[in-house]
Amino acid sequence: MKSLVSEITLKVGRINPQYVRLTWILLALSMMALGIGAPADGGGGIPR
Amino acid sequence: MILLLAVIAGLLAGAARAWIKRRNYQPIQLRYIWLIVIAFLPQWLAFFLPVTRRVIPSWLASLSLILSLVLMLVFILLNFSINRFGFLILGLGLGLNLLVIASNGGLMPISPENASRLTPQIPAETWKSGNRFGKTKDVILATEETNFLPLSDCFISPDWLHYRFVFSLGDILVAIGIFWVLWEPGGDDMVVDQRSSTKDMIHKPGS
Repeated sequence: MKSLVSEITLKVGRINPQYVRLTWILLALSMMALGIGAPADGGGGIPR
Repeated sequence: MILLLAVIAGLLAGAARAWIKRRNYQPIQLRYIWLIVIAFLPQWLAFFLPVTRRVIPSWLASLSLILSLVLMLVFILLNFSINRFGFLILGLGLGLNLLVIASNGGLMPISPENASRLTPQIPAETWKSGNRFGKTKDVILATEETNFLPLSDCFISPDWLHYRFVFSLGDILVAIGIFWVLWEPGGDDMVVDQRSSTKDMIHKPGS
């Protein structure tokens, strides 16, 4: 168990912080895109 | 969903720009990202999650939408200095959408004609002015009853495009702003911090 935890910690530690930052940016901008605009563009909630 | 294409296009264009300019793609450092998560949560419950959007009444949905947009505007203001042009356009688009939504009762107005073009299988006379358009963020409003009509969801995708969607002027600005925010870091002239840069993020040609 200890070795598994340390292995995961090691792998997570190897993730480049730039990738983490980029992921957060994409997530934030995607939430903004969904939140601000395109209210009825074929997404959920349109009566069929 | 169509605005998500702006996110993908902006990222690809920014990466391509970095590659052409033989630079590393340096993503911007956004602040207060948790604010976006909090801002999006009410909308997610009111419009996206099927279980909750069925039971949330329209008045609460419109309140959620306005609250959410205001919080997103605060997020843009807090990050304005990071990418002035991108966030200016993004904020302008959000502001226009917020203006038309707030002045029409808390939901984005859509004309009965555009609603019936989105749902050709439903008779056009079903769409009565004042009713919510399904469980979306839109409300059916006749053009003569709509405040700030040019800012409403008055544009519709062309007939030759298989995927039908409506959009507003604010949506167009939001798409441009998002694209810019992701495109600009690909060509920044800023000094690269060797400790934090990712040389392997965008491989330089020939390296």
